[in-house]
Amino acid sequence: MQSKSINFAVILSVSLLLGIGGGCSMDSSYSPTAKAAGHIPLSENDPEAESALKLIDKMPDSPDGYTQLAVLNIQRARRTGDFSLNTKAETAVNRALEIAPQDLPSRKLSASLLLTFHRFAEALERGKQLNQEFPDDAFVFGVLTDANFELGNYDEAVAAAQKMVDIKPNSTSYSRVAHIRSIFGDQAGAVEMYTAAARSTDPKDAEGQSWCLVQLGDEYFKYGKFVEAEKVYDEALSVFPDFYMALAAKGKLRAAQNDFDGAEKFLKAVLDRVPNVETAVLLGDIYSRKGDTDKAKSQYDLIEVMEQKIGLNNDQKRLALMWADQNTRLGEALEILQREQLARKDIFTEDALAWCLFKNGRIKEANESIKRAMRLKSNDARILYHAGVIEKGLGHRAEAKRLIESALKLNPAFDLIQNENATRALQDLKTKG
Amino acid sequence: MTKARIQILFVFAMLVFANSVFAHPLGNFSVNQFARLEVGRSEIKVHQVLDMAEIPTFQESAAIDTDKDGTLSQIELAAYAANLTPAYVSKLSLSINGVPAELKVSEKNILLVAGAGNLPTLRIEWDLISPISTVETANKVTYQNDNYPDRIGWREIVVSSTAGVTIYASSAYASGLSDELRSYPQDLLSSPLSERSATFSMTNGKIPENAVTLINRDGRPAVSIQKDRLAELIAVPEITPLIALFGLFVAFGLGAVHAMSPGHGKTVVGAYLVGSKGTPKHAVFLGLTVTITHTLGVFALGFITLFASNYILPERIMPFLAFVSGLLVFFIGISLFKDRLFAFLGWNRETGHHHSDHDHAGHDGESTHSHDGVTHTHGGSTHSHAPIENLTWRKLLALGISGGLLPCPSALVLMLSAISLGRVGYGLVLTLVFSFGLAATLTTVGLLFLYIGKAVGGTAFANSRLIKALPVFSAFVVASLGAVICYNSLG
Repeated sequence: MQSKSINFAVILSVSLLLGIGGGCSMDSSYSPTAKAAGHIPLSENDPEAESALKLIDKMPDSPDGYTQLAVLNIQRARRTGDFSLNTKAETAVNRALEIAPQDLPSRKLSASLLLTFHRFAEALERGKQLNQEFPDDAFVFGVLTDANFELGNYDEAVAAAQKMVDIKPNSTSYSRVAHIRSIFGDQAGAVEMYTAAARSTDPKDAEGQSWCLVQLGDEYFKYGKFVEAEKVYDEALSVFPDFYMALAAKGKLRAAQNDFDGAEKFLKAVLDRVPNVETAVLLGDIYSRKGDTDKAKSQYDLIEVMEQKIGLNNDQKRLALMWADQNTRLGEALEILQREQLARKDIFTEDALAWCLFKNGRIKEANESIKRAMRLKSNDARILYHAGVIEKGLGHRAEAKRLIESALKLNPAFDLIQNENATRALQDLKTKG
Repeated sequence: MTKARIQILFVFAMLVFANSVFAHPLGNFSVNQFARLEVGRSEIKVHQVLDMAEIPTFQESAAIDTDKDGTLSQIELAAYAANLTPAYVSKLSLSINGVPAELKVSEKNILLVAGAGNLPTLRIEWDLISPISTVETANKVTYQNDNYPDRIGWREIVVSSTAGVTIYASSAYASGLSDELRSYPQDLLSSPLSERSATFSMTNGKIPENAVTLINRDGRPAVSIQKDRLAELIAVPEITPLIALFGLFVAFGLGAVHAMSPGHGKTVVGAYLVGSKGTPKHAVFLGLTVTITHTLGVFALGFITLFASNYILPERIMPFLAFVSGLLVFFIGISLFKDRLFAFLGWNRETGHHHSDHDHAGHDGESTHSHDGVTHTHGGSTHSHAPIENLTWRKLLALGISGGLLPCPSALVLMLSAISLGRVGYGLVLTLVFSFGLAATLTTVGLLFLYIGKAVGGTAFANSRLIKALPVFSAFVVASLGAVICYNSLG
C-alpha cells in the first residue's frame, strides 16, 4: 500500500515534467565533447540529463534546470525501482528551492518527494500550505490525498481526492479514486476507476499505463480472480516490457497458483534488478514451501539487511510483520510497529501492530488495534485472517471461524505461508466446534 | 595458467574507520564495473574491475560461504572468484577489425571492502591480455561488457595507449572518474556513467586526416601512457627503506642504459671532445650539467602537463625544446668547426698571425720563450699553441644543457606517476638519480674519448695530417647533428 502512494506522487510528477520540459530551451548545437562546466561530464548516452545540466549552466539563477533534473530522476526511479534516484531528485529540488524558494513546481516536487521518503506528516503540512496559496491546484490535492491516506485520515483523503478529480479528471486523479474505493472494499468501483486510469494515460507514458494496469490486476488478485489478474498483468508487460512491478505481480500470481518454479523465475528477475522487500519475502516463502530452508533463510536475511542494516526503503514495517509471522524477534517487531503507529494510523499499520501484539501475548490490545484496522471494511484477506486468529485467542470461536473463512474465501492464496496456517486454524475451529 | 592472488580485507571497526567507507553512487544495490584498456604495439591489456555494493555482496555470500560457517574465508573467496571468472570473462568481448580476439586472464584479485551497515562489499579485479598478432596500420577495436546488463550500476571504460601507438576516433575517454571504482563522484546531480562498450581506432603510423585523437573527459588531449620499468618503480604498494634503496640503484642503471639508446648526445659529446684539450674535470662538469638540466626539464614539463596543459600543450613544447637543443648543438658545432679549421690551417683566430712562417727576430732574448711548452708571450700578449684552444666552460655548459634539455619520456612518466600517487619526494629523487645515470654514461663516453685521444696523442700516427684533420671533421659532425635535430623537430 505504501508503494502505491509513492507511485501516485511520481505519476503526478510526470505530468509536471511535461509542463516543465515544454518550457525548457534545448540547445540543438550540443556536442558531447563540450562538457557542462562545473559538473562531472556525463556519458553521451544520457542526453536528457545532460540537457538539464546544460540548462543549469545556461541559466544558473533559474530553478528550471534543477526541477527538470529532479523530474527526470523521479521518473527513472519509478521506471526502474532504483530508490537512490529519488535522493538525486531531492538534491536537485533543494538546489532549485535555494535559488527560488517560492518556485511552485519545485515546492510541489519537494512535497511529493516527502511522500516518497515516508515523511507523511511533513508532506501533509506542505500540501496544506500550498493548498492555501493555490486552492485550485490538482497536484496539491494529490499530495493531500496521499498524505492523508498514508496517515490514516481517510475522510480527509476522500475529500481531497474528490476535489482533485473535479479539477482534473485524468489518469492520476482516477487512480487515486480507485485506490480509495479499493480500501473501502468497493471492488467494482475500484476496477472501474483503475480501468479508466489505465485507458486515459498519455499514450507516450507507457510506464504510467503499465503501472495502472498492475494496480488493476492487484485488485483482481485481492479477490482471488487470478485469470482476470493475469490478463491485465500480461497487458502491463506488453505495454512496458520487463516492468519490474509487472514481473513481480506475475511471480506473485504464479506462486498463488502453486507454480513455484515459474514464480521463482519472475521473482529472481525482479530481485536481480531492484531490491524489493515484498518480492524478497515472497521468494523466501517459495523456498520455504519447496523445503529449501537454506535458500529461504538467505532471502529472509536479505530483508533484514535491506531494511534494518541499510534502511533501504526507510520502512521496517514489512520486516516486523515477517518476524511476527515467523514467531521470531517478537519484541523487536512490536517495538518497530509501536513506533510506526505513533506516526501513522492507517489500517495496515494497525493490522501489523495488532498481529505483533497478539504474538507477544497482548491479546486485548491486539483486539483494539485490529478493530481499528477493520474500520473501513476493506475486504483484505490478511486483515481478516489476523482478526480471526485474535478472536480465536479471545475465545470467540464463531466469530473467529467466520473471519478466517471470509479470508480464505476472498483469496485462498493471500499469503503462501499464512494461508496454510489459516486453513489449519479453520480446521481446528471446525473440529473442536 | 592463471595465478590467483587472494587478498582479504575485512574492516569491522566501522565506527572508527567511518571515513573509509565509500558510498556507491547508485546505492547499496548497485553492481559497478570498470575497464581500462591499454593498447600496445603487440597486445591489448584490459584491467577489469567488478564492484558489488552491500546487497549484491550479501546475495552472493550464500554462494561464497560454502561451509556455511557464516564467514567468508580466503579459500572460499578464491573458489568463488575461480568459479565466476570463466562466466564473467565470456561476457567480455574484444574484437579487432571485426575479428573476435581472445582475452586471457593473467591475474585476478578478490577482496572484501567495508561498506555501509557493517556489511562487506565485494571487489574483484582481473588483468586480461590479448595479443595482437598482425598489427596493421590502422585497426578498429571494439570492447564490450555484457555482464549484469539489467543491474543498476556505474559502468566506466577508459582507454590508453603505450608509446608508439595512437588512438583516434574513440567513443571512450582516456581519463576515468571513479579511480577505478574506489572513489565515486559525490555530485548527486550528475547521472552515473553507463559505458557498456568502447570503440576506437589504433595505429602505429600516422592517423588519418581530420581524425580526432583520444581525449580526456575534460576535452584535453590524452597524453600517451608510456609505462616502463622506471615508472613502475614509483608504483610499488609500499616504499620501505630497502625498496627505496633498490629503486635508486635501478633508476641509476636505467638512466645509464637509457643514455645508450640513440639520440642522447653521445656522438655530440664524443665529437666535441675529439681533439679538445679536455680533462676529467670537464667531463664531470658536462655530466652534472646534463643531470641538472634534465631533472629541471622533467619537473617543468611534468608541472605543465598536470597544471597548465589548458594553456600550453606538452606535445607542442617537446618539438620546441628539441629545436632549441638542436640549435645549441648546431652553434657549438659551427664554433668548433671554425676554431678547429683555423687551428688546422695554422691561423690564430685572435691575432691573425701565422705561426708556420714566423721568425724569432725581434725577440730580445730577454723574454721567456719556450717552444716545448704550449704558451708564450709576444709583446706581453700570451696565447696558447695547443692544437685546439676552444674548450671553454661556457661551451661545455651549452653542450650539457643541450644534452639534458629534452626530457626523456620515461622520466616524465615517472614524475607524473609520482605526483598522481602522492609520492612527489620519492619521484623527485628517482628522477634525479635517473638523470645521474644518464649523465654518467655521457661522462664516461667523454672520458673514453679523452683517454683514447691522449693514448694516441704522442704517436707518429697522431701526427699524420689526416688524424690532425679529425677534430675539424668531428666539429662538422656536431654542427650537422645540430642541424638534423632542428630539422626533425620541425616535422
